[in-house]
Amino acid sequence: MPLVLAAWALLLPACAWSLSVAFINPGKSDEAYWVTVTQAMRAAASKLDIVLEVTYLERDHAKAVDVARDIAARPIQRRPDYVLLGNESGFGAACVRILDGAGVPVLMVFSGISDLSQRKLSGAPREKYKLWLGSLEPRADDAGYVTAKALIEKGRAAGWTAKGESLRMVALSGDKLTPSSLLRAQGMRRAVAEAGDVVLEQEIFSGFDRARAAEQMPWLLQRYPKTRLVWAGNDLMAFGAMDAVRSRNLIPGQDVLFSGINTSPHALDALRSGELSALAGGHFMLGAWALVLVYDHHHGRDFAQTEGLEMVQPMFSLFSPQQAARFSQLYGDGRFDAIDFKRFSKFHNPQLKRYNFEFQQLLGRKG
Amino acid sequence: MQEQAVQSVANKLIKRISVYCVASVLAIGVVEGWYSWRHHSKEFDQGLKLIAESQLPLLAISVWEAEPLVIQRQLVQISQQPAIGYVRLRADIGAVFEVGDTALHDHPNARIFNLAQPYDREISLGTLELAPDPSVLYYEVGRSVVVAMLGYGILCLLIIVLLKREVERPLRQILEYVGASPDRRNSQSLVVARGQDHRKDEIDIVVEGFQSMHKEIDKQMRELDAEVANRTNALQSAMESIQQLSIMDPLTGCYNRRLFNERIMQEAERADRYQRALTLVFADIDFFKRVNDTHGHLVGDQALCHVSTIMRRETRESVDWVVRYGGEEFLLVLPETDQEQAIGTAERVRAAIAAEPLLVRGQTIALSCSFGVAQYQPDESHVAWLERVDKCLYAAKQTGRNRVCAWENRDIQI
Repeated sequence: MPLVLAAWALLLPACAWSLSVAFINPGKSDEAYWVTVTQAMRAAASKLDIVLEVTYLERDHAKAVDVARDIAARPIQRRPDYVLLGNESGFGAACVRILDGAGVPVLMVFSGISDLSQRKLSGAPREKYKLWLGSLEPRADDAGYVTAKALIEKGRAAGWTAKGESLRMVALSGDKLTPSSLLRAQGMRRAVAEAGDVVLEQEIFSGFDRARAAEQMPWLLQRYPKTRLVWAGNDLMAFGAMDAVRSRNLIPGQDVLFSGINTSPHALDALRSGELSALAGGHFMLGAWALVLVYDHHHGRDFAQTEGLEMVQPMFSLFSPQQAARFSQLYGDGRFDAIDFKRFSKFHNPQLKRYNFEFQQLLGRKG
Repeated sequence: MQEQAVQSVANKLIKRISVYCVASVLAIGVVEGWYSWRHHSKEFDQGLKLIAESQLPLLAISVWEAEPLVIQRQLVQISQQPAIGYVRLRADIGAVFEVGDTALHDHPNARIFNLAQPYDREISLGTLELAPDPSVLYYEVGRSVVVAMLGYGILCLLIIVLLKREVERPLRQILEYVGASPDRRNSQSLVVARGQDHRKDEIDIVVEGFQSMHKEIDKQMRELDAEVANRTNALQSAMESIQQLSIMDPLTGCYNRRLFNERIMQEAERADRYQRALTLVFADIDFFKRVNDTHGHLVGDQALCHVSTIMRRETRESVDWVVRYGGEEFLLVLPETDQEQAIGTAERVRAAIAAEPLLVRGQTIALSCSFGVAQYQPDESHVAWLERVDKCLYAAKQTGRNRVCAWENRDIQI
């Protein structure tokens, strides 16, 4: 009997018993957000018994095609069961075509194909490319909306609208192309429009880059000296803008209020210290949620029937300082092992009708 | 003839054309430079405007979106246009970006453009100053000036070369011909080398005129030379006959007394010098007066001719000479002949005369001569010598005529 078990153990890695998934990570291997994404995925993979392979594109989005080609060129037994990749800079469709040809199913994550011209070439999931299973995206405008709304409320609370003055706000967006960037800004503008007492002076594009934001912010301060609110499309740009504000002898969180997106440790600390007035995050979990989807798909539970092919799920949560503290306590240093990912799987929970990927639930109680 | 400095028409033309050409080239250069300067300045200005118009919207967006790196990159791109020397952007927030040669920022042709806010053109985001790169302008102007001047310069050079070839050289050849020595000019005709495909022109006509003139002169010279030769020959013979006449006796053809007087001295001198014998024979026709009186003077003349002919016949033709001394007297001068030999000669002559009577109208007239013979004695005057021979003749006459009497007979006294 022990002998049989040993033989089993030896055979295990070679067998196709455990599910294998490859993730093409578009970010840099030392970029906090994308590293966190990977960490969450590894935690989910280990809980779901998935063999996970991660390749970083180091923000060279065109490289995705090469990676897809490499995967397609492997011998069949060494190809992954699923590939997770994004559509950064529009290279997704090309990857799908290659992998579909090689018989590898693809789930698009973080960004799908929404652009009409790309759509013409790629079609809808499971149409032209049968193995393009679908896409999972965070509802990005949520992040922009909730952070802007909270930022405006903080501004009002500071009493800057007491004399009937409007709040002067500038926005630092990522870029003009990435859908998530555009959507976040769109949510921000929705909040501004709803507020009525806020003037969005200008929106600029800092490429999600701290140094660039630090360089650009003085221009905006020069141009709009009455600026009170700075909305940023991610945490790094908020920090860059803070640097510029500090060099003008203004105090972030007091003279000028900032909002950011992403749950980086630095951002969580800044939220607790009050330098950041509003922070939203949680979409770093998307990769892990995608593993749950392919896990269920692999076990015969296709998301198509209940969620549709192109899922845009609410994932962002606005963090209070207390929640930030709890997040650090629970998942600090990328420790996501406490999360029981099987709990979110329809295969393991047949009673589950719809997936819930909101982050709030992970802060509520342990595990 | 007075030498006068001659100026070549062709050289004068060439010099003038050169001067005018240089002046024209300079003038054209100036005009071309001025025009090119204006043209290129305008072009530059339009170029600046065009560049500005194409670049301003992008720049405005970059300024509006606070993108210093992008702005810098765009300015570098603008400054790389060949016409642009310097670019400066002043942003609304006080930042200044400069690219290019900063020494150009006060250039008079620099242009300043307003950067309008992309969404509200009323708001200025700053200014863009573009200064042209003058070196490009200088280069363009210099190039057009050099090309224009080069073109006209080559044209002028061609004209000069053609003038030199077509006018100056043939004229110089004509001039050299005219200025050459008359000998050379007479000996050779004028030849002017012209090009192979050359068509006849005025110079050729002048050359042909020279050539036909030369031919004419040559012909006349030849005729003249022939005429002179003829005349000289005629004169020569005339002179010779005059000479003949002056030394000859016209009736008998013997030498006359004048010649004898002249030449006997030379003969005597020669005899002295070479110690040679020289003998004189004095002959006189006997009873000649009777012949004249009987038969008339004409027959007398015939008798004289008859006697002289025999005398010449019987003496050595080129050595001895026969002189009619006067009336019926003859002298035979016998060089290289001593008295004995002379006696023989005189004897022979006497015998011939005596044997050959004169024939006149079928009638014979017997003639005879008497002879005196005397050899020349060294350092003797010819008068004394003649006297001696005359004495011998007298002796022959006295002793019966038709005989020869020689001097050695010392008995004969005067």
